[in-house]
Amino acid sequence: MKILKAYYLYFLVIVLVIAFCIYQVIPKVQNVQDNIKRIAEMETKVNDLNVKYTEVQKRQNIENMKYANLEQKSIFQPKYTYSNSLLALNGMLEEVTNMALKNQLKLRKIDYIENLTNDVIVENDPDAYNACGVKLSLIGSYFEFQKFLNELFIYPYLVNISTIDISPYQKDKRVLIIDVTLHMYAKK
Amino acid sequence: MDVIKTISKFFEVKKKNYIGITVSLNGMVEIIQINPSTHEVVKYANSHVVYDARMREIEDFINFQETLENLFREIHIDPKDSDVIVCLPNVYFNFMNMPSELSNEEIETAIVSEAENNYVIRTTTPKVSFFKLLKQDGANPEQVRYAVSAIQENVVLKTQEILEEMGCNIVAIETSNSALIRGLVWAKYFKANVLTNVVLISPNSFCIFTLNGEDWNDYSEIPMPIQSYDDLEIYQNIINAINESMESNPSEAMLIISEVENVSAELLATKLNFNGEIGFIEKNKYSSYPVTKVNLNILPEYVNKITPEAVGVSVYNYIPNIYPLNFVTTNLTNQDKTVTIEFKGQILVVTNKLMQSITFAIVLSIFIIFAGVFFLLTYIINAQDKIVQKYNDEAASLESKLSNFAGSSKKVDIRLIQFDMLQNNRIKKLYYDSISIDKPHNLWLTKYYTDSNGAVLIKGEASSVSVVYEFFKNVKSMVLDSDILLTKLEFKDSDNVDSLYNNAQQLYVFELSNAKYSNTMTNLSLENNGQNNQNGVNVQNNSGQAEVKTPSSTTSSNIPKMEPISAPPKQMPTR
Repeated sequence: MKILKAYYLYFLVIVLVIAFCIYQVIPKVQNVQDNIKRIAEMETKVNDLNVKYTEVQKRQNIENMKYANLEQKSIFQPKYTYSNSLLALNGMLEEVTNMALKNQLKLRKIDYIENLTNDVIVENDPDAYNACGVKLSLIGSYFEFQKFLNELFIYPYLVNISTIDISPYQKDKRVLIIDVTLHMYAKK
Repeated sequence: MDVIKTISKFFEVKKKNYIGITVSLNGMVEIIQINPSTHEVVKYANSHVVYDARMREIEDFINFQETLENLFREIHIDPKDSDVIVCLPNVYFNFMNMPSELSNEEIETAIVSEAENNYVIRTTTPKVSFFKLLKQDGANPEQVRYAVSAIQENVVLKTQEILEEMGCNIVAIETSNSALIRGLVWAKYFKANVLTNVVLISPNSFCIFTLNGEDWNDYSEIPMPIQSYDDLEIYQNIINAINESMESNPSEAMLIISEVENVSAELLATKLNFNGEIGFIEKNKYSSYPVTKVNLNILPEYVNKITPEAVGVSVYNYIPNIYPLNFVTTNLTNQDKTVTIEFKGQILVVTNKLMQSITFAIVLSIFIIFAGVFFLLTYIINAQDKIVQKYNDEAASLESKLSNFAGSSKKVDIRLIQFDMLQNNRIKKLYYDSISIDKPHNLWLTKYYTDSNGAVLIKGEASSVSVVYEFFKNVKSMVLDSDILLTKLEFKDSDNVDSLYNNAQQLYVFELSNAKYSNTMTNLSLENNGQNNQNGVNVQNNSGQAEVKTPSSTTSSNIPKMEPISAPPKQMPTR
């Protein structure tokens, strides 16, 4: 006590220095504590998300396994990106038309349906795919149309045969008047 | 403890030596240094100067200076490294009660006025010093009790001058009474709470100092021409005087100090009829033991000559609040404030400079420690922030992946759609294959229609019912799980009864379709209800109701009308 009385100023300085240092350090300590809490929370959140993600992935894998054995065709991928579906599918339309002509079918008329409204792919994922319909009015025999269908069947890209409407030609019943509507798809 | 010592030593490297210098009435000049930790006298030497006891002053100050220089040399201490406290013989000393409201100047005036009763003070300019006693009169709080002392100013100035010339730092100049009591306190001559009378026998008087424990309560000086007494009567006269004083000043213990050459304090103590504890200190030729602990380095011839005043003056700074008279008025700022503390039986002297150094060291240590902690925490926070960021990124990535899954799960999987699509294509082709391959020769087809909803329509004519059934069976066997039904079978011209009656070879008209086709037709009929059917396909339902358009009625003009078959069966192609 004697020394405290005599040199109180020195002790005061020491106390003030300690107080100052503590004042500087306390926010840091609080920061560390907050961070520990945050890390714990984030760890829990990430773990939960990981668990969720693993579950979803598992489900997805199961789905993938289900679809793995399904018959699939690739979807046409144009060289460039087009907003217009006719442009995007130009190459494919040409190939399909040529396919009909190659099989001695006579091409009476072609109608393009640019904006397909009742297509299941367009309805499901309009942002991912361009779709375009083409209605081919053909004239030919049973055999010629069958060949065309066979070729279309083994065509590597996905083509949806929307409608087939066949009537015999009145003047020569061996000749068929065929209206076939095809839906074609290209990736955006 | 060792740590404290080491720290103290470290900080005391440049500390000055505290040196006490005492001048006695007999002209003995002592120089002394005490180690406050061990309580030992570590440096000591003495010499003599000519002292005028009547006028209470050193006759030759030049000689005094030379003596001091010699003494410093003898104890191997440079005066320039010394803080010096000087004790001069007492000239005037007393206890005085004064009003508490008096200022220091007023008190000094009062002391001078009182001190002028002394013949020495009267003939010179006095220098006064005083201190407040610890024990005050509780019954009279307006009065304060002081110990007051006066000395010749010129003596103080001359002493100061020669010491300054030597390069010493003068801490204090005091007189012998306060130094004596302080020395006895330091040497632990007083027991706590025991009333003790210290009887100091001087050549011209004897003084009685009354202390309760270490608290100085009273003082009285009785003039007595001791040196004029012969040896036979001297003791009896002193005893008589002491006994007389003791009657008015009783005590439990007594300490007799003799500084008269022919008076033995020990003999006086034995002759004195005193019931309490009695002690003695010889400051004369009878001295045979030291007043305090003395280091072995001190020459034996000096050991018994050390006076209590010398001890008291050398510890002036170590127990600064014990009776601190000081006649020095200049250069007081040089004085280093000192506090002694007792720790585990050891006395530690804490000076201002030491305290500064310790404070600096502590503050520096605190800064270093806290800076370390601060930077460590900053480092930890940075590391934590990185971890948090990593977790945030990870969480964002997982959330994004999950939202992708969630988004994709809302849609029907494209692979499933594709699969359905290809299956539908396959069925369409199978139906087409069935009508082109397995058609009986006497059956003719007039219409084949299929669409993406799975609707199928096959219309035709046949020569007999069995042929229709055969064709129907073939179609069913060709297309696995075919849902097609025979929805119509009738004579071609069923309304014309005459014709049926006359000609049994009438053709049959049939229609194969599935439920999806009916649904498509119903939907279309609802949409186009009220419209005429002039451009639609002439599809008649089983009930013969109004004709409806084909499913692709939006482009219905492109679908050819159903042609009535009147041509012979051979006109239809067969394969």
